[in-house]
Amino acid sequence: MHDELEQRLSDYLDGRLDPAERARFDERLARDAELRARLEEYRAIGSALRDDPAELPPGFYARARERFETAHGKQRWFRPLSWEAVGALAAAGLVLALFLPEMMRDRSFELPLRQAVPAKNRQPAVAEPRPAETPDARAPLEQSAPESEAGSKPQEPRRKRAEDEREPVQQTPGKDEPRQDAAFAPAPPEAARRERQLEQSKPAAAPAPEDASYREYEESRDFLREDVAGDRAAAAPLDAPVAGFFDLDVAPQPPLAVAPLATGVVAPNEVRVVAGQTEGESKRRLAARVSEPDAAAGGEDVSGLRPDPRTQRLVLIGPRSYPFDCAAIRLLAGPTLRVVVPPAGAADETAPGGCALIVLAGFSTVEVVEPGPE
Amino acid sequence: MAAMDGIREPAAESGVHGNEGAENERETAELLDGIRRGDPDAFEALARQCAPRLFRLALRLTGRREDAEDLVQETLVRALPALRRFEGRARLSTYLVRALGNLWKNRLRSRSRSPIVRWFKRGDEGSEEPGAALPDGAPDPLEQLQAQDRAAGVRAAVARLEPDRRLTLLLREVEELSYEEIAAITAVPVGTVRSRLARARDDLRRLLKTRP
Repeated sequence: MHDELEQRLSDYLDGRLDPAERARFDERLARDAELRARLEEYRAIGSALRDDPAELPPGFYARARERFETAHGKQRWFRPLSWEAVGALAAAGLVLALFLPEMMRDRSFELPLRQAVPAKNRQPAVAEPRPAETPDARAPLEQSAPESEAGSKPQEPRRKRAEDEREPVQQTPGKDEPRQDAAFAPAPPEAARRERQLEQSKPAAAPAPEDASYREYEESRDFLREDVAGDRAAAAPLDAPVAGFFDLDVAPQPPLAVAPLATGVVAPNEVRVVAGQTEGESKRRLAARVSEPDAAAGGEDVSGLRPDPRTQRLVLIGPRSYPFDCAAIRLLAGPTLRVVVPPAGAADETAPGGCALIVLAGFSTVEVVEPGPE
Repeated sequence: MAAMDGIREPAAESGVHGNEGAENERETAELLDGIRRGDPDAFEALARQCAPRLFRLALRLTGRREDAEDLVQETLVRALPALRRFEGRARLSTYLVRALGNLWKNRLRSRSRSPIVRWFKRGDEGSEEPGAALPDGAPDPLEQLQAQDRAAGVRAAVARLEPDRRLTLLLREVEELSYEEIAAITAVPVGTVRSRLARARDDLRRLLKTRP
């Protein structure tokens, strides 16, 4: 049937023809048996679509509710405060209102506080000599500062530490006797002092804050953590593409564990993240556990994928600027997913960014292997 | 506007007066406030009003009950808390249908370029892939269809329609929306709605003819 006639038939069915056109089409229908049959077919199809029952599956609302609680549970922070909390806040505000102006006027508060800091706890005027940064120097840091769920937190202290390390160099020598003007500087918080002492006992390995790789690492870790928590999925506009970093709407899952792969095989229903401060380090941390060559030929190269974790149960996240380039990944048919990473020697030491492998569920095993000779 | 059973023309549904309609509007607005605060009871209450009709549309879009449930739940979980301003239940139903359609099309886009999905879907029936609109010599999924009833046959054929045509046809035939409403939801001119409908009907008729 001619396209124009099909169009008019559809318009007729939906009542989109004006009265004159409709009358003419009625005349044609009376003459054309094929056209009448087509009209009846369309009407039957529409009825079949409308009459098809679609009962909600049992347990639909319980599952929907659970999903809502998972996605938006954190918003309970914004629920109204209890009366007790309101009372406590009001009392604290009152105390502040009464005493703060007095404290501001009385500048004698400041000096005793500064002088009260013991000299041994004050900031040293000269930084300890910083060990040379070698590849070997990185490994102890990885071991001494394992990345747990709170493992991403040290980023901020690291920035402070690096700033603190630079600062003393401009001050006068005199390791244990701070300059006079240093005594009037605001006393560093206790936590920052502890961090500095801890840092001085370690080999320096973290990139300096001004280093692009540090920022890339920070960003990578941040968005990784937020995405897995589903935060950005909730805030993403509805017309945004589902695929991508910022749209990972992960179903209920065990707590995120950031840890190196203990073996070459990841158990099902396990969440693992492997991340490093640079692309090369990420690769090394993956490749370090490789124990067998990629003997299997074939397989499907899935590098560059942005899988949907709701159905695909696998998330591979590379550096922000090179997503999924941190490892050549091959998906082999069958119950086993094999992730092929570059050999350790091939790691690019200069490229910034972390690399992560998150296995949510769905595969019986996941193997991380090095490729064999091509 | 005829979109959601529970939230469409609330006064007309039960023959109640305008006051009760206004009361329903207030109740819906309160539920949305609760949802924005993360209240699961408010979410479930509003979901019970919206989900049945959304599920009917989603089932025809996806062709699979599991996918339809997932799509409706995602729509409700994401769209309801994201609604910043409530402008009446009719607007809410339009908003939810548009959200569902967008999420479904985004899924199709992300899956169609993902080999991993093809691997997962291997052997599945009622594929959600935006397959060819017409038989092309490949094994016809309809031949494997076990359910022989007419509605199931139509559902399976609809699942093979090109996505935009599928959505447009279902909004017209199932949701019984006007061309103008469909155009607003799918963000295309009315003329495009008109041509998509004609092509969808023709494609669907031809697909059904290939059934044994």
